[in-house]
Amino acid sequence: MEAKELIERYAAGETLFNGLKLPGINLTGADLIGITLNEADLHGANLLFAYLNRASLTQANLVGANLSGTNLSQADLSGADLRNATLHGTLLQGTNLRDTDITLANFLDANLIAADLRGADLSGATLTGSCLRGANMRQEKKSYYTNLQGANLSRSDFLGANMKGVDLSRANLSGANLREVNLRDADLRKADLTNANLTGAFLTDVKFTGAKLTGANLTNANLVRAELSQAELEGITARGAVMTHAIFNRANLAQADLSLTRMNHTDFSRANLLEANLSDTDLVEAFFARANLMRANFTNANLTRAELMSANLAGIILQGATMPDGKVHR
Amino acid sequence: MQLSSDLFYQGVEALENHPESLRMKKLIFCICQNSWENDAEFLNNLPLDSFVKKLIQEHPTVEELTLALYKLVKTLNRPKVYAGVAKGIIEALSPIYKAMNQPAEFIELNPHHQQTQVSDVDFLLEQAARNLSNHKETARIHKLIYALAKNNWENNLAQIQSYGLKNLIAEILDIYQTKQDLANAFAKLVENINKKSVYVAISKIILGQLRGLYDNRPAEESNEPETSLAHENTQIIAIRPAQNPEPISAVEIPVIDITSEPRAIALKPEQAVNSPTKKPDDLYEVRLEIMQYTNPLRAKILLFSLLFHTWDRSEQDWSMLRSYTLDDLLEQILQSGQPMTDIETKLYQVAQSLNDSENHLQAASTIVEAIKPFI
Repeated sequence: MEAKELIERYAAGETLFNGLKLPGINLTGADLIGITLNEADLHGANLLFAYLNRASLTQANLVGANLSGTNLSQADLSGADLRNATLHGTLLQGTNLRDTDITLANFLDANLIAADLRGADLSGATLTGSCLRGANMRQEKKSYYTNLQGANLSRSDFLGANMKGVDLSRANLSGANLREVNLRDADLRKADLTNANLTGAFLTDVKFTGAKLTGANLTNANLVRAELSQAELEGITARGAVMTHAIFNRANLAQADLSLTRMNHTDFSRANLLEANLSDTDLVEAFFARANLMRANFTNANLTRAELMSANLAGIILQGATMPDGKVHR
Repeated sequence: MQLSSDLFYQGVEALENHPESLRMKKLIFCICQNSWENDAEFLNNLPLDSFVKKLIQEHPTVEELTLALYKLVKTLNRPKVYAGVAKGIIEALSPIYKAMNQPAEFIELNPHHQQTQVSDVDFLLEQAARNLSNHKETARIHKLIYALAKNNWENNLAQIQSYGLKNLIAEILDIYQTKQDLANAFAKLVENINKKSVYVAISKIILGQLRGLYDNRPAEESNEPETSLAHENTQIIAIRPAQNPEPISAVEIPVIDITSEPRAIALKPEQAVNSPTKKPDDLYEVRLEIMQYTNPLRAKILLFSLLFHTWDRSEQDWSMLRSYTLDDLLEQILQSGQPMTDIETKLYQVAQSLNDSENHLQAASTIVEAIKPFI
């Protein structure tokens, strides 16, 4: 079918076009609001600035399609194939993208507010500058999760998104807004979170092994049981964060601001805490085996039963701190 | 092309004395010579004035210079750092460009001030009426102006035209004594019209055209101190210093931006965190506002046209647009130091000139609303 015929039939009131073969069709700027194109073949189609609000495109083939500036708000694209598609500045607010294959697609500056991305495969996709506020990426079952492996999410906005159990390993999240996101159980191994804002984020059981968090803001974040071995955390701000039972083995925390945090039972073995600020912290039974605590500030910290025996304590500040044996340091 | 030697040397001096002078030289050298130079000694001995001259000759407008600089910055290892440096260069040289592009205005403005106020206002009125008559949306402009002047909606264009646009504008100026009054009246009127977004845009166009008339009103409180100053000097000098303070102070802004500097890490954590994080957060809000209420791609096309050149839908433009994020473009507008009114008028002009102008006008008004609080 030609573009003209489709548009005419739609304008005449027809809306059901399931399974149509329309590869490479040019529908630039077409008004097709609410159209049903389930299982249609639209690969390589040009839908630049088309209006497909509330359209139904389940299981559609959109491989390599140009969806730049297309309005797909509240549309249903579940199970669609969007590999290599271009979604530059596309409106996907409240869109159903469950179980879609979006590998290597480009979502530059796209609006994905409140989109449903559960079970979607976005590995290697570019989402630079996109807005994903309130998006749903929650892991439903052990083997059913959103895949963002190696995706580029720099300067993306995830405020308040549910990203429980998402695979973000090796993803680029530099400068991203991750305030108040739920990343529980997420995989962020070797991810780049330079200058990311993680204020108030829910990060329990997250794997940050080898991740780069230089300049990140973790104020009031919850990192209970998080795994941060060999993570790069130089100069981070984490005031008021809760990090009990977290693991910082060989992590670099030089000059980090960890004041007012709760870090009972936390493992700092071989970590670098050079000149870090740990004032007013709870560090009951914390483990500092061979940690570098040179010139670190432990003013008023609670170090009851903490292990400090093999740590480098040169120049350490312990004023008012409760020492491992329960005595208060003067 | 004329170069004002005073302004030129002021610009060169601003570059020399800038804290990021070395990096600026690296960028300028690279643009002029097409090769990257790291040798500090070599750069320090660079005859900067001849390089700046070359730079301006090869990039006759500030837009072209901006484009060339940012294109180069994109290819560098530390684009964030150099974006700030590029901004510094543009700010230092923009007074030169300003003077280059508006010599006619300086000459024109002068005699008007010496003439009587009446002819001055008359001239501006004539000009505004002519501009609005030649506008693509002149029918809607007529209707809106008529509605405001007569407090009555008229769809018959001939009827409106029989009054004469100039007379209608004069009536409006009589009724609404200040720019703000007029803006408020438009806002109230537009509220009750069906095609609200279109007419919001139209009202902005009208406001933009009438701005000059309000600014030139005799005995306006804000004009008072300036005119007394002007008596001591000649007019030309009085006008220039009034424009200059902006770019000069703006030169200092990019220094704060350079966050990834090695020496920034040496700063106390409190300082390192406070200043730079505030801006991106705001930017997220601006972006959200645009994303939610208009098409992000249209917004980008508009901002692109405003910053570089009118969108021509070529493959080259598309690939360039993809190399910028909405953030980049917004940041550039917000830090350009342009007054809101200028940005507004330019945005609507661009929107009007693109095809599918109704949608672009809607995008323009969303951008205006989103960035207003931050300018």
